[in-house]
Amino acid sequence: MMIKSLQELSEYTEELSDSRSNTGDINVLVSLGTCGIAAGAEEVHKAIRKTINENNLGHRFNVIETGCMGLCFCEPSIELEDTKNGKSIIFGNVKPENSEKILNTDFQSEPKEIDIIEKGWYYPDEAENTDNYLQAKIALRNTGRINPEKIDDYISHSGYKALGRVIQDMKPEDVIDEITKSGLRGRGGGGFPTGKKWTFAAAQSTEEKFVICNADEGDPGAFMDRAVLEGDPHSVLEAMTIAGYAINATKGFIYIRAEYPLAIERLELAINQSREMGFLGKNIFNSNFSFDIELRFGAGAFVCGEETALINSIQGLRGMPSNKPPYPAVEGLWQKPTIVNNVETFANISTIIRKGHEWFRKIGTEDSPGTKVFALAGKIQNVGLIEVPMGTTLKNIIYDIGNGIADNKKFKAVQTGGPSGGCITPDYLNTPIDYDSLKKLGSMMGSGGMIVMDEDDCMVDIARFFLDFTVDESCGKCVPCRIGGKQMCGLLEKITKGKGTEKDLRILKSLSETIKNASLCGLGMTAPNPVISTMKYFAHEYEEHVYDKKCRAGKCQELITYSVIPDKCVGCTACKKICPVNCISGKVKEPHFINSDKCIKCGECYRVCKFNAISKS
Amino acid sequence: MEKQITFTIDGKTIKASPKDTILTAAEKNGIVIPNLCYNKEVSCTAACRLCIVKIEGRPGFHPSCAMKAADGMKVKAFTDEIEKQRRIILDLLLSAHNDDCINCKKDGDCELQDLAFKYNLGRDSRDFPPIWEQLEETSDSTSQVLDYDATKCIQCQRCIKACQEKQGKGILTFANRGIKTTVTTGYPQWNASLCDGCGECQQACPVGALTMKPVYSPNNRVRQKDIEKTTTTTCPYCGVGCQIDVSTINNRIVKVDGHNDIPNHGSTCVKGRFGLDFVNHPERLTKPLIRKDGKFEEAEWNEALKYTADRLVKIKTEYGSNSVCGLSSARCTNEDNYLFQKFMRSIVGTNNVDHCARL
Ligand SMILES: Cc1cc2nc3c(=O)[nH]c(=O)nc-3n(C[C@H](O)[C@H](O)[C@H](O)COP(=O)(O)O)c2cc1C
Ligand code: SF4
Ligand code: SF4
Ligand code: SF4
Repeated sequence: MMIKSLQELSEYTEELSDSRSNTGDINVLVSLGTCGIAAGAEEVHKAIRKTINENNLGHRFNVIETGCMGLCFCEPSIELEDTKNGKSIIFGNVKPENSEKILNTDFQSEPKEIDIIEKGWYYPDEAENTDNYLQAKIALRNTGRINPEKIDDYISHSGYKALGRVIQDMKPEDVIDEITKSGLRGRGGGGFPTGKKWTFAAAQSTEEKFVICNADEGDPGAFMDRAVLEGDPHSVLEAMTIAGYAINATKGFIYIRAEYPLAIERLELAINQSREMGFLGKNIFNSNFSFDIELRFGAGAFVCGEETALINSIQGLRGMPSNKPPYPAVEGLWQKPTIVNNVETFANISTIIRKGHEWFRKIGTEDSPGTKVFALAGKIQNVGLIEVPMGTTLKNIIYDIGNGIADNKKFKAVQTGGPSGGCITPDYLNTPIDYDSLKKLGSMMGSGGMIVMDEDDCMVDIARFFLDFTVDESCGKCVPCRIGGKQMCGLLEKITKGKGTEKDLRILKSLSETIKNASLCGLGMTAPNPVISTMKYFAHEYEEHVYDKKCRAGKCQELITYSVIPDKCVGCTACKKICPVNCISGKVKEPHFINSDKCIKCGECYRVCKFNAISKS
Repeated sequence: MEKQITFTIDGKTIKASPKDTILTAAEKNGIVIPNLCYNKEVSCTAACRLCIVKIEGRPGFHPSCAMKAADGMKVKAFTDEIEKQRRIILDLLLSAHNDDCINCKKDGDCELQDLAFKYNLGRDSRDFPPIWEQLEETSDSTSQVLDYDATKCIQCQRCIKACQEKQGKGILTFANRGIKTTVTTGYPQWNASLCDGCGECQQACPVGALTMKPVYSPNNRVRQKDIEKTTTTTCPYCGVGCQIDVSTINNRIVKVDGHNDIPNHGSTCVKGRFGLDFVNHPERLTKPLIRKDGKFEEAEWNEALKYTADRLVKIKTEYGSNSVCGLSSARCTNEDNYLFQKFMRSIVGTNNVDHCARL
């Protein structure tokens, strides 16, 4: 069926809600994203279906297979929602055998042995007031709430309304104006004002222009784009089409990494459904405007997320960045004006159009309106995907949403902005985070990775770890990044091995400045950030490694000596038995001794000693 | 007349065309901003980052090879800060470069060596340990005319772009990424690729990474500084008339380069660059031969010309003009070929005239 006008769209939406009244009142939302499936969500889903069928409960329950709810720490997860009174309850770590108990819930008493996840994770799109919620969902508004494989689900959640309104009631410049006024900034890392980018592209008078959605998502630990594409693909298609209308382009590409097979499958399905209903293709909403979208696959190089490298890759060239200017908005794909926007950026667009820029500006901060999705990871209790208003403090995120540091350890730092971001120390936990405040702290927003570190992490080692990644992913085009990164890794390795000198620290500092200043693309320019920020906030740790040959976190193997504390040793021989190089001697029931010349510092003795008799220093 | 723009570099007023980049404008005004990947014959790469400058009102550093000069711009090109970055970049390049200059064909003709000398970056003055030895880079000497030494390659892309943009062949690309990046034909071996050995790439290489095999003196490697004389001449092969620089030692050809002038602008094909070995070949004909009693015998020019003229007259009178045909060579000049067809038509009296390039 083809939808030709807003009128037809709202009639169709009504039909959908009528037909829904035939099914059950209680929605059973089963989170079936890649992560949920890996945790066993498909078995749980089958068990739920089976229980409903066997007990003839079809009239009560309406099972919805959704994308990721973001509750990584307790997958598989299931949400029950009573559509009559709005009550809902979320279950975590669900096993197939729990299905009966879950379906029997009365929304009051909590069934034992299944984890109940505190509500407050969701602030659905429709709510006007963000105050009582820690999170605010705009980009993830449908992710985990609708079935991504059914266009009807998207439509009944106001889907394609914004597109209809744009085409029927707005001029392209009005659309750009609305986006500009909303203050939306690119969520792919740079934070460039989206409206401004569209304005540049719209101002070019060439016949052919392109819209590209950057779904390369190469930051290790970031998976918000995957969540959107798997959970709400239509929101991206709708936004790209709106962008096409705004800049007068007729063709869009989604550049997605081939490692996201489920997202690709759902996107392909969504594109076909959208074409069938006339939201893509010729004469959309019966207008002169035509637009279509194709997928292009990336082979998983981090640098291909950089927009000029991405464009080269689509053109069939080696994925290497080009110097800017010219910017893609002026000279992009096949030298034609091209806007490249991130998945999450696009996921904000239709809500902004539907609710207006004033509504959007009420959320977030003056310079960074709206929300940001973060992928919480590392030494934190609640690992997962969250969306919070800009300006939320790190403290809120780590302690209130993330539930604090795992294993009762002491918080040391949080790395924002992925491997090319910087670390932030406990002193700055109260900073409201947005693009500019993070930059001021020497870190960055990046795509929204957030890795929490505790007292067991050595900051020199952490810097080396992140740098290893960027050095590995350097495209090799420019000298500072290609060779400078490698040399920087060498220096850090030297320091973690206790062989660093004062001169090395000096060289490290000036080298990181040069790489930052002189590299061609963002990868090189930001690669030294972990080094620069750890050298700034944890200078003492570097000094300890260099001057005292000590690693306070006990991470740097070469700097650790294992020895037996004779007073505590009961002579149980456990250490002696496990040592792979037989460097521990001692008789039963007598204190043992470690020959530190032979010791390879594997730490096995430390691990097996039940009497805390091995010291690590 | 084209509008001129005026801007300053380190306070000095520079006049340039709006088409100029900061780098080319500087060059025209006698200021040489250090660079390695820049090659005016091909598109801008902006990869070596040596030519970075600062521009007032714009944050950060900018490669001057990629930035168009604009009216009123205030450029800083040689401040201490910028020179410090350049030094570090050069130091980095040298750490990944096999600096065995003593044994290098490009010794004395190497842009990296020149810059290292200029910045006084002898081994003792460098901050970074040599890492090139640990890199497993794949060199390739399977081409009949080229050697690729990956340990010397500075990944400037000049070869890749010369092959693609000047020769239109696109044989070369990079393999791997990061520090492991090397030039490749995409085949396991150079000689399996479609490379026809024109040598454009090695001519563009600023260092000793891509070099000519010593085809003219296989047992005697020659460096630029050994060359006694270089003569600019016309390639004797096809009718295009490429200009070439023929270098000789002791009156023997040791190498041929493309000369940067009309019509070839520095390019040659494989024959022009590597095919002139016939000049010094012992079997090369230096005198006309006349077959006597079934055997070729050396003759003087006068004798040979007279013999040919007599035979032509005889054949023409006995069998008619059309029993003669003339075949000229594309390796002759236009003027020679014009004269030849004129001779065939008006003196021999036939239209039977053709030349090798049509066959
Ligand atoms: C090394 C590197 C990797 C990047 N990877 C991504 C990515 O995976 N996804 C993305 O959206 N943007 C990525 N970017 C940013 C893009 O270049 C570009 O700025 C962005 O897609 C623009 O979209 P936005 O304005 O909506 O953020 C990357 C940038 C760099 C320098
Ligand atoms: S900064 Fe790194 S990734 Fe970017 S162009 Fe240079 S070498 Fe390539
Ligand atoms: S010799 Fe000529 S064809 Fe071969 S790679 Fe070099 S430029 Fe290309
Ligand atoms: S072979 Fe020469 S021209 Fe080619 S990239 Fe290496 S250094 Fe540059």
